[in-house]
Amino acid sequence: MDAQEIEALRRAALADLAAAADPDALEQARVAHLGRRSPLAAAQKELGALDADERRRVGALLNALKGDLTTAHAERRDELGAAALRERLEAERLDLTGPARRPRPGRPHLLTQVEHEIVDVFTGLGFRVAEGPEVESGRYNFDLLNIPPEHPARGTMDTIYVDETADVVLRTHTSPVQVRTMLTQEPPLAVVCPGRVYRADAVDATHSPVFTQVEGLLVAEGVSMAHLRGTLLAFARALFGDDREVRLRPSFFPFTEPSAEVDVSYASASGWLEILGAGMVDPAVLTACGIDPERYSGFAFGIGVERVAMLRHGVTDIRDLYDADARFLAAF
Amino acid sequence: MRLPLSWLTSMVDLDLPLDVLVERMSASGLEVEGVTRPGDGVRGVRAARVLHHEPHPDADSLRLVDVTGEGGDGIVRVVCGAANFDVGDVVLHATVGAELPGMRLEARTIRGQVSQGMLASPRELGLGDDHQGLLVVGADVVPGAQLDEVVPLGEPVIEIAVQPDRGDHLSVRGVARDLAAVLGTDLRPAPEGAAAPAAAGVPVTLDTAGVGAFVAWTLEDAVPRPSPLWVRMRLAQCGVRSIDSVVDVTNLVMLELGQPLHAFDLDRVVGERLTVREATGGERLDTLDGSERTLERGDLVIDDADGPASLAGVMGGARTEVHAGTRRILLEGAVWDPAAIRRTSRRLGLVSEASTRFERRVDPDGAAEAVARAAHLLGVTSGARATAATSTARTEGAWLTGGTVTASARRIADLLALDLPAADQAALLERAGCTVAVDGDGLTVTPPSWRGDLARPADLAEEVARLHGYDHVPSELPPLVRRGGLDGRQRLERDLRAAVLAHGFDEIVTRPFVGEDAFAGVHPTPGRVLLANPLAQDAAAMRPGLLDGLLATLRRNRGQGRAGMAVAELGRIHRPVGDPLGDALDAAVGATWRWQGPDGLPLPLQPRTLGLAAYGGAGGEGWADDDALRTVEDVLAVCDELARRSHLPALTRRPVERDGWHPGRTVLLELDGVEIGIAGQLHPRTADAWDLPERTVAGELLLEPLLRGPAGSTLATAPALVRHPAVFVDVAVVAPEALAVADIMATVGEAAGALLEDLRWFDEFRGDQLPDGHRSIGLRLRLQDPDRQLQDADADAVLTRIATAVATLGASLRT
Repeated sequence: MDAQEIEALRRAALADLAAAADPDALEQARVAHLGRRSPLAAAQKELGALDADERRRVGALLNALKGDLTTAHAERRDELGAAALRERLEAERLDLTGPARRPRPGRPHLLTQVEHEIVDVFTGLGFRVAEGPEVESGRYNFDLLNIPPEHPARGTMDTIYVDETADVVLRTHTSPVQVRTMLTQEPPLAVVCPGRVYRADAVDATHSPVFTQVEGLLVAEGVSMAHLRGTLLAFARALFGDDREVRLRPSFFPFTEPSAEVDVSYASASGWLEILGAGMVDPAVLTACGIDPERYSGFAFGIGVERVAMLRHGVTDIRDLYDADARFLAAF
Repeated sequence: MRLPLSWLTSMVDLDLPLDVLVERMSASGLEVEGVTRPGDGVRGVRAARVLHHEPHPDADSLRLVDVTGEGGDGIVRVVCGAANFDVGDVVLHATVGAELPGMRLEARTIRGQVSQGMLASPRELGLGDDHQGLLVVGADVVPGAQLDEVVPLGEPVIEIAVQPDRGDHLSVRGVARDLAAVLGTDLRPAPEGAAAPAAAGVPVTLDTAGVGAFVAWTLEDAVPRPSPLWVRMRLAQCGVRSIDSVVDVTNLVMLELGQPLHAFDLDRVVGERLTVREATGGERLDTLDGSERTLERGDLVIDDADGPASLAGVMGGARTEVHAGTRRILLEGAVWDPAAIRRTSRRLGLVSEASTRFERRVDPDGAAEAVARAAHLLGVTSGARATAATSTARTEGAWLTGGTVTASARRIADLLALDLPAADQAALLERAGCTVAVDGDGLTVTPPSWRGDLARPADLAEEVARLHGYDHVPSELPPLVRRGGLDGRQRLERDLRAAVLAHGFDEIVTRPFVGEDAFAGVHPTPGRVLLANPLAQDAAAMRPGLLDGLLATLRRNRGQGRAGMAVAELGRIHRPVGDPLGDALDAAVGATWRWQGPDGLPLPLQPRTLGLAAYGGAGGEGWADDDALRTVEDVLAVCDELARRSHLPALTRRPVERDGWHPGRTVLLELDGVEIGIAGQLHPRTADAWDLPERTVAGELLLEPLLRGPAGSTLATAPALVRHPAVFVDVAVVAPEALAVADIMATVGEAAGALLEDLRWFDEFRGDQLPDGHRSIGLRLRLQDPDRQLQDADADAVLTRIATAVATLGASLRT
């Protein structure tokens, strides 16, 4: 076989391979041009009949042809495979612009989110978290907090009772948790007390018989009102923004002396908004809870989680927090 | 307490714009709740005398009234709806062109009769609340006078919230005095009072230490009449009703000086002598408000010779009340034990201006001055003449003694973090009326009689801070006193909540009250923690479980057409002390979850609990697939994951039939044989009763065993990750229907032994090839050995053991 014939073979084979439109046609072309009965195979068998020089020359040409055809076949095979895969994938197309057809994970309630955010500010400042019962003894809820039995706050207009005789109440604040902490632990101590509390208020847009507090207590040697202010400033800035200031105004609580209402700077008519009550722990409370007021001093504060949540998130009706409307839940 | 600005400025130098004053007050413990201007907008109202009146010809309830301003300005006819006046009275006439708040007067025809303006009621003029009758003025106002020439209507009235320990803020003078201290200005001289008569007054016996000072003056020749307009204005500005010139003076002086006063009609005081005592209980007394009161032991009462005549410090008695014919007055000013008044007032539900003041402690040294002031004003307004005086007192009451307080100036400065030397602190306290002796660091302070709240060094510290200004307290973070943070159990609680939410349940918070019926979940019980004073009948008890709140939430949202919802609540449930739930929890975790009051008083059970409820809605957001329903599996998956996160063994499931639940689709969740949860589908009837779809599922799980389990205190440890290839073995267990998959899987797993790495249920089959009442359960085992590659023989050995094991359950392997 001379070079011209080999070139003719090449042209014919490459044309057939290129023309194969599907894997079957390609296989037929491969068998025809590269198979055992192909002209190429026959020519290779005939090499033995040639003299050495001729055999080397023609053999090299046939090998080159075989290599070229094998490459051409592989390329065509890949082309056809890729086209088939493209076709299949095209057929599998999904419209992924639609909704994900699986339930989304649930969301923590806004009150939980805000409570955790508040608690986390204080744990970052070295406070621990203390808990106590919601149905509480009047002694812990009132007596040890300097609120005597005839105090108006203990009336049924303000406090929900479980048992008036045994003086068991729905706690009106989480201060009894402070009491329990002081009764069982030695200073120095720093705790925040999150939890639900209760008042005898009918449900309306601004009142709820159940609401959420985070109270705090720090008792150690040398605690001053500056420490109270610094702690509350850190809280206000964490929750409302780093540009905030706090203002303390004289007030009265039975369990603190001096006492203060605390305002945070706010875009309101007066420039201030009342957010919590606080003060230095009254020495009578320390004494009642077994702590020596000559040696230790402390501060306490009480934050209303609903109030913070409503201010920050534009909630205008406190009932929305307890009525669990799906639209409300999904917003936070 | 309402404070007319002009009244304040008559007592203290105030040279501040109103808004600055309000700001300073609020920053100093005189919290301003608002500023009003009663009578603002009233113009063109004059006094006019009634000359004639006759019935309106066409309206029974109206009168035609002729009035004149005198001075030759003619007679004007007005149509009027009131009837509390007569010919000769002087009334207030809003003439044509006059202005009242919200209206400008014109000549108007009423039922065919032209009315030239109107005759005004107190409320229309900002001079009281009364809207039924006209304001009939006294001789102090001459006809023709313009109202705004007689009294300054529309001036600012500042209302403050009074702190419970600052009873001295319940008077204009008390606030003026405090403002003088706050602002560092001067208090003006006290208002004029009558000189005490030398003659001895009615005998008074004080039989109780619940009284301090008791001053009683005898006044003769009084004639009760309408009060002058300036008195009515002051009372109206302070929100007190005008009665007559005698009672009004007692109220005016109370507002002015803070000392409640009481006027008896002396001719009705039997025996003309008084005894002050504690009630023995059972006495009856008709009070001024027309109620009959039964006294209890400890109430303070004032007797005349006929028995109780006045409920001391709270309300006078009707029997000795001043009336139009009263001529002789016994004017009483006394000071009472705050705690006793608080008890009586609270018990009777009777809160008066007097009791409000006595509860907060009235200046024990102020009674004589107040009585003298009132006697003077009664002379002016009612023609009364003081003729005799009695003044007596008891001094034992602990509430009376201010006493001296000693304090360390250094400690006060340290507490406040203020660099204030002893002398500066003394100067501040002196501004508040204290007498202070400074000895080095020591302060010896005698508070003024009106400051019962200054009794301890802490009280002095607050006063020093207040007068110096809270704004001066610096801001500084406290040193870290201890390492902070959540403990293991608290972290686990957050972790469990996150796991619940990850399963697609939204967290809700509901009000934890229930009515008579409550849908029962774990450990059903009729026991309730009942409320003694519930806010509503359907909120009479604390919730015994969480499911009521959850189902109500689903109902409310379904009512709005929501196709599905899955909600969870983590909160406390409440049961009485002896409830069986307590025994179960004790068995599961010991008694550490219980709460006690003082002296071991057991408090109702209030364990932390998880509740879950869901219907529909498994198709995802924005996808309406009516067939994608939540099932009990959604609830079970959450409970299983919580147990895993708590490092507890898997909760065992026991099918159960309970009221309200689907009998074939409900299981108890048990830990070591103790019921700690329930999960299931609602009974169709229950679902229907709640207006919920039939496929509504719910569950409840007590969290205390999880929170108090190993995860709260110990760390998870890493498993060995075997790298030899795993061998998979599928088995088909043919078992009677009654045999639970849980039991089959447990048996298969146990038989597979140490090689078993994972066991899954992949198939359930029923058919003719199986014996009647049987099903085939397909299970896939993944076997691995840490030390070697497993061979076919290993799998065969496992299969043989499984075949033997399931045979003991009455099941067999299908081959």
